[in-house]
Formats: sequence, C-alpha cells, structure tokens
Amino acid sequence: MRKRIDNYATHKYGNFRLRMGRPLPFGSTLVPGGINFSVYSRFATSCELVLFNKGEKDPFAVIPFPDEFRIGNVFTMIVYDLDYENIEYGYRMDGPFNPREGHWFDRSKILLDPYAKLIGGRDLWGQMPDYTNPFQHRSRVALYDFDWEDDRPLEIPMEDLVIYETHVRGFTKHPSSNVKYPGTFAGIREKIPYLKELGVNCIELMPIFEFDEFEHSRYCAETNQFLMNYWGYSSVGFFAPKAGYAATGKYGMQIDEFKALVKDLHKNGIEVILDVVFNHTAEGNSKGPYISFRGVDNKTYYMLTPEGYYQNFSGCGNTINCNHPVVRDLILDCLRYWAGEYHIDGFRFDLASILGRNQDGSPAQNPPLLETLAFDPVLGKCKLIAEAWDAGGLYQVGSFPSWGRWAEWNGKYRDDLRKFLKGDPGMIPPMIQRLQGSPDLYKWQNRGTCASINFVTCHDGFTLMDLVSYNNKHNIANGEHNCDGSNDNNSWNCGHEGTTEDSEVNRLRRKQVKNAVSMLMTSQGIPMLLAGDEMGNTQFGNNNAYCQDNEISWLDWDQLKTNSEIFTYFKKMIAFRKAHPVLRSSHHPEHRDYVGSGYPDVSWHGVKAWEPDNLNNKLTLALMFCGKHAKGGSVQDDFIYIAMNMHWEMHGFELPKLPPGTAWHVFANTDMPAPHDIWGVDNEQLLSNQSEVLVGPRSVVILVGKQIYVGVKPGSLTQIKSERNPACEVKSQEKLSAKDSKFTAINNKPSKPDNAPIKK
Amino acid sequence: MEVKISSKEDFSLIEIIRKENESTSTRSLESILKSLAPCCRMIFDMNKCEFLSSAELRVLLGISQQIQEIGGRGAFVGLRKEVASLMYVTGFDNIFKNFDTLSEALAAVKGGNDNA
Repeated sequence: MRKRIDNYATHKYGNFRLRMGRPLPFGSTLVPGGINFSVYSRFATSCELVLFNKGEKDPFAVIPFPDEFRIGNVFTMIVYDLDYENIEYGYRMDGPFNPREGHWFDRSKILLDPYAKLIGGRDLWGQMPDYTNPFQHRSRVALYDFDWEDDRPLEIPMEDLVIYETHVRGFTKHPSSNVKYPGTFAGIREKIPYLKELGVNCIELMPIFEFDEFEHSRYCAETNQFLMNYWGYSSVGFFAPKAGYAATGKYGMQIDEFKALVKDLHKNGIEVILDVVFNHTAEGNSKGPYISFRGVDNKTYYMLTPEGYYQNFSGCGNTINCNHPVVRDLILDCLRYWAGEYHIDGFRFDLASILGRNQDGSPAQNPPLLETLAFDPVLGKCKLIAEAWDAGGLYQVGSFPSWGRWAEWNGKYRDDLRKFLKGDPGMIPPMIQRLQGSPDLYKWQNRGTCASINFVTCHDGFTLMDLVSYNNKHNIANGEHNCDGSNDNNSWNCGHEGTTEDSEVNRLRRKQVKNAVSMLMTSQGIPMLLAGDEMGNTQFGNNNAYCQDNEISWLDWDQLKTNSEIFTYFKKMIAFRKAHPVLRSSHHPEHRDYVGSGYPDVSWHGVKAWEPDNLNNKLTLALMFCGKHAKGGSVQDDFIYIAMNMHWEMHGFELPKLPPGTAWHVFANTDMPAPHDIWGVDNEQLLSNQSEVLVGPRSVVILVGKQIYVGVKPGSLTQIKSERNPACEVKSQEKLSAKDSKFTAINNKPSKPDNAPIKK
Repeated sequence: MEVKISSKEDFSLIEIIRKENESTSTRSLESILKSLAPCCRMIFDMNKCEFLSSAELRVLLGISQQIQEIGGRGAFVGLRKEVASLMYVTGFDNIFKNFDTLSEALAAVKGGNDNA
C-alpha cells in the first residue's frame, strides 16, 4: 500500500517532531509514526499538550499547539515517536475567566481529553487517590482494534427481550459469587451460564463510563461505613470504560476486557444495553473540580443561567448542554463509538428528558438531539430507551418524543402494578392498561407495546423482596438521616416490617414476589428484571443504595439456595414468556377477532367470564390471550388465561369456554407451595374443572388452553386421563364448548351487546 | 522483552522472555514476522513470559493470523497460568493452543492437529 505523502514532521519543539494534525476525529488517534491529538474549544485562546509517563506526577513535556495548528475552533497536532502505550496526556487551556459570561478557563489546570477512549488514574476500584497529584483522571491512547471474529449486535426483536438490570461490581463482588474476578467485567463473564439458565436475553449495565467512586465519599456517622459514589451516575469521561470495573484495569486493558465480555454475551444470545448518563458530569456545580469540560469550554458544554450559574435539572449540580450542536455531536460520536467499536446493542438514557431541553432549559418541541439519535444510521438498530423524566420536574412517560424509535421506562407500570399487588382499590382500570402494553400512554402516537419497558423494580428503589417486606425505606446507612430515597414506594410489608421468622408472613412475601413476576412476564411490553430479584435479594430496606459499596448492594448468591423456589419460579416464567409469542405482540390488542378464531385477541374477565370486575372496590381481574392472534395471526399459539386475585380472600373465577378439542391446563398457581406453584412449559397440568378455577387469596393463576391429545372425543373431558394435582381446584365437571363464549371489550371499545361469540 | 528464535530441523522455536514490570516493546515481537514462511511450523516457548501488554498481545495475534494465512501452524508451550488468564479475560485466548511439553506442541504443529 502506498504510504501517505504527508507523514513527516514540519515543526520541532525541543526534541519533539510535530506537524499539524487532522481535526477529525477528536481525541487521540494513532497515525503512522505518531499520535494525532485534536481537541475543540471555541473560547480558548491557546492550548498546550501535557505529556506524562504513565502514573507519574510531573509531566515529561508540555508542547504548546502552534497558532498555525488551529483549524476553526479545533487545536490539532501530530506528535511523532511517542511511546503510545506508556504515556498519559492532558490539555491546558488558556482563555477568559469570567463566570458571569460562562467562562472558567484556568491555565494551571490539566484537563482530561473530552474524547479520551482510555482513562487512567483510577485503575483499581477503591484505591485511595493521591490528591496531591494535579492530574487525577488521565487520558491515555487507546488501542481499540479487537478481534471480534464474526460478532455483531444481535438485533433481537424488541418485543422478545427480557432485560436484566445489574451493576457490574455488585453482581459478583460478594464472596458467595464464587468467581475468580469478583466485581469486574470478567466476573460477569463467568456468570454467563447463570444468565442463560435464568433465561434473560439482555443485560442492562448500570453506568460503566469512567466515573470517580470517591466523588462525595464520606464516612457515615451512624454506621462508620465508608460511603462512595457506588452506582456511578456521574461520568468523568463518556468514551472510556471504567478501569476499576476491569480485572485488568491495572494494566490498562479494560477496553479489551469489556469487549471480550460483550463478545461472549453475544455468543450466548445475550444483548448488552448500557445505562448512559449524558445529563451531567462529575464536575458538579461552581464548587466542583476541574476535570475536563469546565476547563475546555464551560460555556459550550454546560447549560447556564443568563447570570452564568449552572442549571441543575439533573439534581447533581450541573446540566450538560445537550442541544448545543457541538455537544450533540459529542453525544452522537460517543454512542456511535460504543455501538460500532463495542458492538453495544442499546442504550438506556438516564434522566433522558434533559436531552430534550433547549439551551435555555425549556422543553423543546422537537429536540434535535433525540431526533438525530432516532435516525442515526450507525444507531439504526440500537435499542434507545429513555428514563422519561428529569430532576427539574419534566415528566414525559407516554409523551417522550419518539419518532417510532424510543422506548421508555414505564414508571406508571411500576406504580400501578405495585398498588394492585398490595390490594389498593381502584386499580382494575389502570391494570387493564398496563397488562396490554399501556395503550393509554402509547397508542395515541402509534408507538406499539415496545415503547413500554415494564418493570416492578429497578436499581432506584426497593428490591422486589424488600417491596413486600417493608412499608418504609430504611436508609439510615446512607448517612442522610433517612431523608434520601423515595417515600412513594407503594410497598407493603405483609404484616411485619423487615425480616421475620413468621412463616405465614414469609409465605405471603414469596407469593407476592411470584405474583409480581407472573404479571410482569405476562404483560405486553418489554419486561425488565432487577438483578437479584430472582433470588429474593434484599437491601435490608434501603431503597437508595447509591453509596453502599458493601453487602447492602452486593448480590448474595447464597440466597439462591435459601430462595430456590423463587429462582425456579422466575426461570419458568421467563421460559413461559419465551414459549408463547402471543405474550410478545409488538402491537396493542384490538379487542376483536381479526383472524377468524371466534375469540378477540385479548379479552377481559373477572369472577364471571367475559365480565371484568371493573369496579372501584374490586381486586379481581382476569385476561385471556387468544393464541390464534399471536404475532398478528402469523404464528399459532395457545390460549393463555391469567387470573389475578389481589383480594385477601379466595375467589372462584368462571373460565371462558375453549374451542372443542382444547382444554385448560395449569401452568402456575402462586397459592400452591413449591414445587406445585409452577409446572413448566409443556408440562402444564390438566385442569379437572374446566368451568371454574379457584384462585387463592392474593394469588395469580396462569392457565394454558391447548389441544388435548389425539383420540379424545371433542367436547368431552371424561376421556382425558390425567393425574389430579393439587394445583387444580375442582368444583364441577362440564362439557367443553365454545358456544357460550362472550366478551366485553375494554379500552374505549363498546361492549358487544349480544354477548355472542364473535366472528371475523 | 527478549525474543530468541532458533531454527530447528522442521520448525522454529521462539522463546519469549518478559518480566511483568518491563515497559511495553513490540519491536522484538514484530521481528518474528520476518521468519514466517509458507507452511512454517512455529512453537512459542512461553515459560519465561510473565506478562503481555495490550500491544504485545495484538502483535502475537497478528502473527497467529499471518501464520494461518500462509498455511503454517503455531502453538504455545508452557504458557503461565496468569498469562493464560490475562489472555482469556481480554479476549486474546484464540491466538494458539497451549501445550505442557515441547513434544506435545511439536506433535500438534506437525501432525495437523486443527487446534494448533
């Protein structure tokens, strides 16, 4: 291949050979014989490149960018003959210091490259920093070629995802995880067989961009525990994986380690979604440190008031100026980099509503950044998920600008399901919406069910076991006098606050956990689980463990033994969802028969078939999915009937009649003790009484209506040979017939007046 | 890093000597590229290799890919546990197969063992 004709030095500075670099891409890039450095600043009057040997406090060189090396607002320079693997670099920028005008230039500060792909200085998690070192977060030159072989993002259809949210460190840091590399990317890789056994096909990682775990660190007066920025919702750099999350971080090999994890997850059919934090940085407010953006170009990168103060829509001191064209490009470059170089399958945007604010802080009608991301070619198949609110009061669940691309964490799903679960009155109408993918929130924009990320718990708030074990948060260990964390938990302790030996209370809690996951896994929309809920994980009532790098947050894998029945239940519910395409429609139900099955796609019931208990004081609800409508009628599936009784008393639910040749089988009954609580796909137990099922207090029953074996006389149950099982409550035996089918339409559809079976 | 290449009757033995605390240098590794010939048989003696940096791993993987391209075969012998772990964790575990003894490695590169 012909060598470039411009690959020679034009300038010398001391012993360094230089030439003008190329402005794009920003950051540091290896070029033949040297490194291309490029950094944007609109208001800086000059810039210096500061070079260090790895880990050393004092630079070995400071090279000013000659004036002629500036193109537009970009300082760019190639430095030849640098030992790229053993150096670290930063910039010093000169310019006005005038906070009222938004300028914070300070030539004495050494600044991290905003486009640093590799960041040193915090190579080991929790190692106390040397604060006498003037350069804390140190840009390094990244080698980001990687042998991906034939890997690429999996592109699992959105409706088929089962998302598992976890924290890199907390997932395997506990000694009980029994991994070789606890608390790291490599540790997650060791747990891939576990994830596969559980059945999830997407792992969502809480922030992995480089952050400072020592930000706001302190001792808790009450517990004397050292508290840290454990969650990491405070980026130092957006392009670099956190070194402290890598077993090889001390060698600067976090890029390779994380890529190896992604590649292995993909090999095992598991996608990777990153929780990204573009709403603020670790530089905080006017009292915060200079790390990068403040010193590079404060006025461009941060949203400021007319008086020059930092806007604080994030609740963390500053707000990134997301809709400034330069910042928009940075965010786009960043996401493209993670999608292209790391094969990331999707992104969840923390406090995403901030991304839709104008530069003056007002909500934009058509936020350019969100639109750009929706239509970007590189991100074209990436999942884009918004946390559709911010700390400035903007709440956009159901109205987040989407262009048919954005999904949302559905906070209303969480709240309504929690209220229903604990038996609040008036929850039948909202639950009817939530179970069918929240058409009340999303159908008006034709967004479909995939707009709704359904969840009961996430990192923010109680774990699922704590949700059923605590009425109130217990956050004393956070050192904020229990004032932090949400008070609006919609939790219920089942009769005792916290851990108890009371077997009845514990039985009810386990049942409530199973009820919750039963509803989650049978809802239209995309289910998301919080890691550990499948083993009954507790945070001891702490609903805001952002600062707890200890056993409050670390997943205790021994709970898999003590709560094995919960794990089994989760595993089988996930398998059930995956086995039944009718549960994974990408469109909202139409409540009519559009395939000629004689049944609507989804129908609602109560203790009486076809008559939902749509009254304020009722706590019973059932729904039936007709499998003939699965994927718009393109695939065949069974009937699925879910009876939910959140009342404290048992109720009999009259069952809708099935077509001849099919019969109801019990898949799950949360009122039954394990192992009779759940049966497994294709091992459902024939229900002896086909006309009614008894649903225990605060219980969920899931039935599958499927063909009975060949040779059975249609319409008769008497010839069905099946062992009675304790999960199948019997009141009477009746002939099977579809003749009496009737339904009542919900969701703004008129009830069918004659209650007759519907036909296409 | 020190690289010693010795040509045997029908294979090359390459000894890689590297201490953990040395700074990265890929030049000596890159010199191996010159000794590659079609259908070559290369055995990399890793007994004295305590560590490999990110750049060095890339050079080794590049050598492996080139050997494959020219119809040759390569194998590691005596790869230390910690280096093998590092390779696994960083996704560089597909460079060559490792063998405990030289004779096993030799048999693999000569005998058409697909894993070598």
